[in-house]
Amino acid sequence: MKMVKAEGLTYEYTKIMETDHGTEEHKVAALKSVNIEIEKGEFVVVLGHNGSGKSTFAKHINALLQPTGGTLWVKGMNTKEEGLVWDIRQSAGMVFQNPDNQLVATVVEEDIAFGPENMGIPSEQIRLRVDEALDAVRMGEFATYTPSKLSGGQKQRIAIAGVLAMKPDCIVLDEPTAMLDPVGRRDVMETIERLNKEEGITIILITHYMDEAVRGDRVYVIDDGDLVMQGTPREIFVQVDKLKGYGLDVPQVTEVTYLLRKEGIDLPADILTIEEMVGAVCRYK
Amino acid sequence: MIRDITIGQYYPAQSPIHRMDARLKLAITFIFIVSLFLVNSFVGYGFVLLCMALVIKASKVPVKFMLRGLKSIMIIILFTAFINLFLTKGEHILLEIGFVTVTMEGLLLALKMCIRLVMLIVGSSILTLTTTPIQLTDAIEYILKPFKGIGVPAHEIAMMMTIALRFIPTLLDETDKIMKAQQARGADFDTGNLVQKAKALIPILVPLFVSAFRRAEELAMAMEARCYHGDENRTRMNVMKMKPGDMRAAGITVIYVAAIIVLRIAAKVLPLV
Amino acid sequence: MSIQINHLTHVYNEGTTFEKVALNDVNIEIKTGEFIGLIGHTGSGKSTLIQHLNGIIYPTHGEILLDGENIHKDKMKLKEVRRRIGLAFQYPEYQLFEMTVYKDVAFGPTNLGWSKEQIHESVISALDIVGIGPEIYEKSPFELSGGQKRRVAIAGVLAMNPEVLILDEPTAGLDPKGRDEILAAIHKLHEERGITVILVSHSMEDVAKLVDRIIVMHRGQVAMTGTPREIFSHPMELEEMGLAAPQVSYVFAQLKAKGYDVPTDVYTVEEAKDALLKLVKQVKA
Repeated sequence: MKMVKAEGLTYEYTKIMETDHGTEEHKVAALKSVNIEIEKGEFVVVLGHNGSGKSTFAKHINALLQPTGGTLWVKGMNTKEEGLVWDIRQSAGMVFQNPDNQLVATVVEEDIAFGPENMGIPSEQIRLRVDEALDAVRMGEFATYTPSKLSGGQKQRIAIAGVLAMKPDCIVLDEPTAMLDPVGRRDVMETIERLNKEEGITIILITHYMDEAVRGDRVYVIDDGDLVMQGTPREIFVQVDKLKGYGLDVPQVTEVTYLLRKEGIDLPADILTIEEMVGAVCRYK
Repeated sequence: MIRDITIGQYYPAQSPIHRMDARLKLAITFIFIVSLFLVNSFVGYGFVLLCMALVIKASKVPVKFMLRGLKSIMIIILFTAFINLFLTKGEHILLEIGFVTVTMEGLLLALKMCIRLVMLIVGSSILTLTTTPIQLTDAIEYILKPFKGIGVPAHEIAMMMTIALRFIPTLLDETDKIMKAQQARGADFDTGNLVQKAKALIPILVPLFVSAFRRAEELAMAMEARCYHGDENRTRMNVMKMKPGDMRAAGITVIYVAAIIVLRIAAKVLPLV
Repeated sequence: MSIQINHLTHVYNEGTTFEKVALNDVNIEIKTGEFIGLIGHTGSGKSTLIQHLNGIIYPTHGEILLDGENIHKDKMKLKEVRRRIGLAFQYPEYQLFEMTVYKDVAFGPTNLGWSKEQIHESVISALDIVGIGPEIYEKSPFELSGGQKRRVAIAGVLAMNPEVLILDEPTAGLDPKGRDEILAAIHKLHEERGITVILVSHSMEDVAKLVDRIIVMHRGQVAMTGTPREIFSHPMELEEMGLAAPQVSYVFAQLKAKGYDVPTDVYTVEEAKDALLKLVKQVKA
């Protein structure tokens, strides 16, 4: 069974626009017939500029939004079926962009307990889950802190722990590092990668940082509600011009390689990291 | 500046009072406040003061912190004192200047009211200083639960309090930031008359409200994503349990109440002031 | 206008248990028309530093001289200091409050008591520089896109015709397109108006593209200062301070370590391409 499967996923909403002739209603399609299949244990990255529809897609996986057309299944559960909403949200947890606006309680461990409490887990088990989740994000020593005393990166890791305590199969992260400093970003990315590799949790990371995207197994690019590119990071990032056309970046080393290849230098096109670039230059004859 | 405002003035320490069950503490505080209005003699006040001193000693919270709460309501205390002092009619006139009369009865009443108010504030400070906000909210939720049948939304009130406590530091920080940002654009909050000062608040309040609404919306979504659906089938990680120490505290409270009643009756029989 | 910072020390909550030395004997000189990049990780003191320049917080010790005059000498002149040194805070869009874009940008100039014509002229010019056209003047600032809001907020500072513009993380949380628009506006501003710009940023790629000189803050002190070329040729020292150099700087540092004859002061994509072309040709020959 696929972790996430979207078939013809469409989401339209009505936007009221003020014009010279009074107000007009416009139908806006945030997602246009998107087909995606995500396997269990995959690390998937969704790229796209602001307003491309990538956040809308994320919210569908958590059943926070229901498709207006097509269908989305999470672990085979149709998100349109109302009775399954809580099971879907438990299976596919979600972490949002602003670290300040997703922590509920005044004490870290109480916050992590929030999800399991809502699920009606017995008290002793919640305690165990909270301790496990804190260890998994390496924040054990902060259990009794108040969230407002933590840095942005630490708050995001607490938010991740809060989702982990619900024992999900999949975590959807909607631009989790956009508001963080480099140290916070690094810590959050390390946490995400570890959860994927060690715990086998499916990761769906929405971002516009390319250095994060290269770490995924698969990359999807959404532009204006359409799924326009998909493939491994290597397959995606060699298409420098196309990505730039969608308002996205490529890693500096990939861009340098691209420029050198244009000059007729025969380097592999799919260089993504500093080490690969150094290696390729060293091997060049 | 704005950072100086402290809310949820919990004083962390290891003491029998800190360890006490929050529900019990809340109930005892309530009984204590009622007792203040039962006492009507200075001997009685002396007894209450003694009990309070023992509890403060046991709580390991410096007296300085206990008295801090008084500063902000000094005006109310003084106002109450003045009202009682000048407006109480009585037989023993101490002072008479023009239409102002001060009577012995007025003086005593003013004194008693002041003592009551001070004890009330210090007494409730003991509760807030030795109980974390989260324990307090849980206790309120528990105590309100029986009233759910008559439409008291116990869980919702507690959840609102938790969220308010969680966001107060965030919004204070934000206010500070917005004030600085508007100051950098030449806004002036210090000079001008009352109307000008009120107007100067608009550039702070509008962004603050916009941001609070945005936060509320995002938080609601985040809570929904974490399966929040009210208190139906909801469990808690920390279950409140009464411990032997709590039983002892309850026992002491019973003795205290008995003593207060005895003092009250005694005041009627014996000529205690 | 020149800024001279002498022995600036700032201690938060002095004398309490929360005492924290944010700045420790900082000495900096900034010349008229310079484009400065101020970098340092969270808690390095850079935010405290820029708030001093604008007179919003007071030094514990030391002084700040504007054209040789202490900014706190005359309290009445503080408003003038704040006009001359514009400060755009992080996420400046959170300070927008007026009904229309135009009115919001006019807030600063109005506070200064300028004439209607003067206000109009400065508002139009500020909005023009950040690329906001007349069709948006009468819109509510709250219905704009994230990048537009940010540019309007920066225009609100610019409208006061500052001689120095300080921008705290102007690109934080924006997508690549929004980021490029802001950076282009800042670049244009520096070119056209010739004003001094201080850009506070975590993003080394942004800083590398724009600034003349970099000041690196670390633990409340100035750790390094120099041209981007000088600073970015020490990627390892930057790493130790929780910072990073642009990706290509690392490539050249590693190539050098492997014994290749390459420059180590490369930090832009273009330079990297040229340097590698040269290297490749040497290898062939």
